[in-house]
Amino acid sequence: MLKTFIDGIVKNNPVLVLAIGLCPTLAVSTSAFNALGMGAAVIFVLTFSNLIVSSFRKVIPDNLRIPIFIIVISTFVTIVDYVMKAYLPGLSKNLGVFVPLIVVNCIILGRAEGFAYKNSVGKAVLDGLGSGIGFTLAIFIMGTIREILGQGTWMSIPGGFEGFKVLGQGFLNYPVLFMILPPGGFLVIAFLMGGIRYFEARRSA
Amino acid sequence: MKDMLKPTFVLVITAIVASALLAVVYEKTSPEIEKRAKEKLLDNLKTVFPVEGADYKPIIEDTLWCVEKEGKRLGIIFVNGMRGYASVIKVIVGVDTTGKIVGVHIPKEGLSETPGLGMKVTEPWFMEQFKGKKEEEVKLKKDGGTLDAVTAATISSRAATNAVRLGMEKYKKYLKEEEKSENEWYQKHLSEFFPDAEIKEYGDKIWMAVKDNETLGTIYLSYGEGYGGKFGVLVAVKDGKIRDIYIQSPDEGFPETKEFGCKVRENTYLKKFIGINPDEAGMIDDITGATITSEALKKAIVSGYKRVGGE
Repeated sequence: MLKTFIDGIVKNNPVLVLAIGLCPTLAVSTSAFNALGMGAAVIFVLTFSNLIVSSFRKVIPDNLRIPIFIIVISTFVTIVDYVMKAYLPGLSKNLGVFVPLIVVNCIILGRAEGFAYKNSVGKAVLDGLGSGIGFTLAIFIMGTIREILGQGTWMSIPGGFEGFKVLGQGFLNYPVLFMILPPGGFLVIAFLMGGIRYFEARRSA
Repeated sequence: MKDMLKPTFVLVITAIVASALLAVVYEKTSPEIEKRAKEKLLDNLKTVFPVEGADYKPIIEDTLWCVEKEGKRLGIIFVNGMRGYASVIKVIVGVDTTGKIVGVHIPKEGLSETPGLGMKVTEPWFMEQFKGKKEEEVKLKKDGGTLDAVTAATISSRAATNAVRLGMEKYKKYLKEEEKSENEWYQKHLSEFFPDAEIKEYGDKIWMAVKDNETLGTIYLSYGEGYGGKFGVLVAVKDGKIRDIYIQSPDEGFPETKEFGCKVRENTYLKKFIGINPDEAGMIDDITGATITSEALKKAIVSGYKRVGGE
């Protein structure tokens, strides 16, 4: 059981190993706080959609499973969207369209189809939590690197906390701007993926 | 048959449960979402026009407000948008009655200019420099104005300044207290149509002239949309015929040009209307060079008379 959970974070990390769900990862990882918000949304949707799909897997007709998955997922995404708009308006504005787009995030549909539909409820929930945390971890690491280098702060919250000034005032004035722009996203994810492959290769060698 | 029924049933049930769940969540969150939006809006209005105890009255929904305190108009606040580099830059601007900017706020939310470049238009130093500026000064220095642009973000800076300036131009007519001045101008003229008669308000912008319990005639106020803007016309009617017409004077806000539009105010032209039924005002000739204004006048006479409903 525990292996299912750990696998989602490490061995089957959706972003860094399976390389799925890259679009929101690259777009939202411009700051650590955005990344955490997005991660939380994905964990919620993934866990609950896995729970529901797995609980009803014996009732869901085979040829109708995709439409039903989509209904289940979009329901949870809409709930997240509403709740975020109501209680975390700043974050919701920052994540923008990427929250509703979780509906078509291949991590979630992939776990529903590939795992939850075939496994018991307990395992499916653990898988959802694991994959969700794996996604969050990856996007949070990326957000951290990009925010620190590209903006000179860490964990700044829109309209609230200014963030830790990790690299000092000089860096705040002249940050490595392009780290926040799309090229920075590709660069960071490439280094992270490359690093993981490198360690894996060394370990198995 | 069973192959068809079961999937249909499952899908219908799924959809019903999902919609029910969403309805509950929506019910719970929507008041909160609305409240947030209102708070945010009021916050923004207070930032650009901070006056203790002022009322912010909407004139145009989500676009234009007037700031009033104890019934006195202090200025207006408007929202205007302009295409920037990657998104529409929205500006919220407070302008006082002398036409000077009180404050400008450019909300970060919903703005997706380049981080670190275009996004810097939301920094306080950029928004501060608008304070106290008049319409013609609101331009970047490189465009002959007084404002500094954000380095390497000229397009975003220019869009923001243009949004402010064009908005000021568009809404400056609201700086005057329109309704108040309107009241003054026509009240004065009502008694001129029927001397010695008592003027009684009969309906919305409709009056009756009464003397010794006898109705002498009806007066109505109507508006025409001319070349330069809206102008007001007072028409006195007796026995279904126009008795007299008064068009507001330039001092009272008549917006048309002196050379052409103003000719409709001349007695030689207005005489043509006297004695005809207001419904037939459309048959009178237009003034050469002031067609739009003449047409507007005729339309105002006809539409106002419809409102009166004959006599």
